Amino acid sequence: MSSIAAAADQPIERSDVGIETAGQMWSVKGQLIISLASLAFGGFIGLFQALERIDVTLPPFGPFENYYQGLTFHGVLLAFVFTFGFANSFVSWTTIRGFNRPLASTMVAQGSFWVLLVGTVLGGATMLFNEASVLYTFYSPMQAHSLFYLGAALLVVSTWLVLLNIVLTYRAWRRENPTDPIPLLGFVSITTYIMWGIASTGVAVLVVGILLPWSLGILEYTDPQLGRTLFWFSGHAIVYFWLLPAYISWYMMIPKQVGGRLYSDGLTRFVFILFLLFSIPTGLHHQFTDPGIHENMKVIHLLLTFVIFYPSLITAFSIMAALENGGRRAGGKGLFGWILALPWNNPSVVAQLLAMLVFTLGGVTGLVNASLTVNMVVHNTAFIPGHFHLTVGTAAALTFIGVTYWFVPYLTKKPLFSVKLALWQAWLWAIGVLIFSRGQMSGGLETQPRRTMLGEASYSLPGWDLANWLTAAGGVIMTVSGLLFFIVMIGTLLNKRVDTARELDALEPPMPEAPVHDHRKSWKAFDRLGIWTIIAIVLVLAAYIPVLMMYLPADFSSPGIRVW
Amino acid sequence: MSRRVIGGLLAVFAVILIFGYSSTIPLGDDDPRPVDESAGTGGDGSLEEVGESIYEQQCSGCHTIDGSEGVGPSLAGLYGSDVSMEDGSTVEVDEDHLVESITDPNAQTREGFPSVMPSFSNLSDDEIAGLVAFIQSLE
Amino acid sequence: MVIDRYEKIFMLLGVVILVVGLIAIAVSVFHYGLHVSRPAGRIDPVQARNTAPFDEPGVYETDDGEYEAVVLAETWRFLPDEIRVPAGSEVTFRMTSADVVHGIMIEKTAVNTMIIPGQISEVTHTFEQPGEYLFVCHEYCGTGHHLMSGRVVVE
Repeated sequence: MSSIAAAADQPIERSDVGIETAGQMWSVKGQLIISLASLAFGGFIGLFQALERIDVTLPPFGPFENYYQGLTFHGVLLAFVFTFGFANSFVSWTTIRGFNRPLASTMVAQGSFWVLLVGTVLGGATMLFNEASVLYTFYSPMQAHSLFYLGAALLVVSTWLVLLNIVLTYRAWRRENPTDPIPLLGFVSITTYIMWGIASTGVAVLVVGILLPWSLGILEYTDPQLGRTLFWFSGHAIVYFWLLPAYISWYMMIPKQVGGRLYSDGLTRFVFILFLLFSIPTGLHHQFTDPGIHENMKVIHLLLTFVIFYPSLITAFSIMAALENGGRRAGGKGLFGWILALPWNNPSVVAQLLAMLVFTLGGVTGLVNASLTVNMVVHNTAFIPGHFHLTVGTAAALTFIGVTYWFVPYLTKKPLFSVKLALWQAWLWAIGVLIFSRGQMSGGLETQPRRTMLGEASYSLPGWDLANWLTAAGGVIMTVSGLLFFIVMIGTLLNKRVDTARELDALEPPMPEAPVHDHRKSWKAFDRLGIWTIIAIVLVLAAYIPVLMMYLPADFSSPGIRVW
Repeated sequence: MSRRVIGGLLAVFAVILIFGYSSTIPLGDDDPRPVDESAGTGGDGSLEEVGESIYEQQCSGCHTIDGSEGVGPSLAGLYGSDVSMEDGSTVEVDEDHLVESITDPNAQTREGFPSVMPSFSNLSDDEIAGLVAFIQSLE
Repeated sequence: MVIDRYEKIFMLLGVVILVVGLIAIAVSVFHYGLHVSRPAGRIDPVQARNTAPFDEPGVYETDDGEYEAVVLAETWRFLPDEIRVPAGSEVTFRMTSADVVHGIMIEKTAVNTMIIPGQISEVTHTFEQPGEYLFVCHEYCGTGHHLMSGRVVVE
């Protein structure tokens, strides 16, 4: 053994000072824990819903009194807490790395953790005590306990605190570097949160301005149609808030992990700017069948929805190019040979590659949903959960899982427990979800309604049996995969901390290299974030003010009802 | 994982993706189903069977018949029992009380349950009698 | 800004795909006359059960071969839950909710709309072939949601 190698095996102290300060990393870790705990509990409840399809009712839906209470728990924990917690944690960290400086405010960073925690506890408790079985869309005039709405509001506030911190960090960086282009990793982080900052105002107005006072008795009545419009103002953009942290990993970390390079800095910025501009003025495509909204406005949102599909198409090209680049560098030959040359033994890469493959189907089915008239075939059928388990349930969730396979070892300085189990976890998830969604989609095309306790329903059609069995089987496979994930996570936490330079280097995160066409070849105006934000707000107003004008005066005439 | 296992998993994945999903859309089965005239009313069954059929269609979301509590009280052993009401009174469950509870449920509410039951006054007298007979038959 | 040739081709291809999709939708709207829900009036949901025409839900012949189905949705049933019409009838469904948000979809048709308290939903469909068509509530409306269904019988 050479002396250099011997030195690398000596225990060393790597201090926590530097850009990753202990006070801020504590919040990053804490929010990741909240996120993964929600995945564990919320995901596990999914098993009962899948089995209910084939009339297996494990008594009675786990800890729950009825199917819909469990379904609410599953939806809220996975769609809001798991995703918000992960985004807050991961994107805070990419901001630190992107701008190569600590976050501007440690207090705000820790505040976002506490607010997320309190919001999760309030929401979780009201659901567990069966005071809020309103599903994650909480359409009024179904009325949940006021603490449920308060919890929902706090979840959003935690993301605002992260946004505030990212913006302050960017401004501090800009003062220190007045002429530099925004580093790409910082750019994708900040645009993700600015987009969500604008998008979340709709649901914030709904929850704080209407539902909370209404549940407290201050307001007697609500307007269900107006409520749905405000919900979906945020409700489609939230899809991109789920997805963009995954895109950050695909654009910034995956090229490095497969030994390739991202191709174009400019196109990457273009894609994220498109998401900032067009994520929000598309919400009406969730309301094509709402009676209170004018048809012309639905058509305008349809067109904008097709625009927002575009950056994902560019992403497909850019990521594929980076993957092929990596595969060829690793010796892959021929038209498809590079695919097999990718690092299929790295669970973080495998999870994310499979997430991308599944996402192709998720994206296409999303386009089906958005297609005005085709939507009438699938709206509110089981096709929809079939679709979004491919997108948020896999493209986002399995990517987040893939990221944790390097992020958690890096944060804890403990190597990943059982690479083999982690690999099987990724494969089982991807195969499981394909079977699950195949069941849901075919059922949906044959008039199977979504969010319905089908095993006990007073109706059924001949084609549903196979659909239900596929859904149940896929759900069981996904649960097994989830179990493997948590075995790997807990095993990792129980591993011994490593302390030699060689071992610590092996846990270093995959940080991006400069793209082949770097920022010098990009359009400089992409960096004018203030202007882009204003354009985004103008577009949103242009797409929504006519909707509101045509709708007003609002009809606050529905009293709250408890239906569970 | 060996290359063979990885190749196998990729193949499974591809087969489900391509063949599984290309078969999702049901083709050619556009003819409507023939009308099932026995549906809905429980056919020519006894009063009790009519009641059971209506129970399963309209009541079982909230009321169990196995003694466990749902949104509303269980119907098991309900008939003939004494139950306490939200206003503090106690009522013996007889036919009149059942009929009133079905047609005007919020006239009185059982203690510990929310007043959320809709009125089923659109049921015919025979159907209500069937429901009462069905509830009477539950031990 | 530098955009590579392959990138340009792919970006153009993306535009083509989306435009073709939009044209297909335009054809379905303008050529086949498919329409999504649009405003058809408002109503006080608390008084819906006592407001005409929803005080008397049912099927009414409005013209030769044309019917109006007045449907009141409430937890957890449709009133009426059976709609009988002769084959070839054009049926206009006029619907509202007396309590929470419901929805309706009829199998093998393009009838699919939300039923929202305060709003009146109106959908028209012509039933050509005799048979039985299931309709279900497709929006979660409480613990009895899965019991809420009905059927159109075309004779």
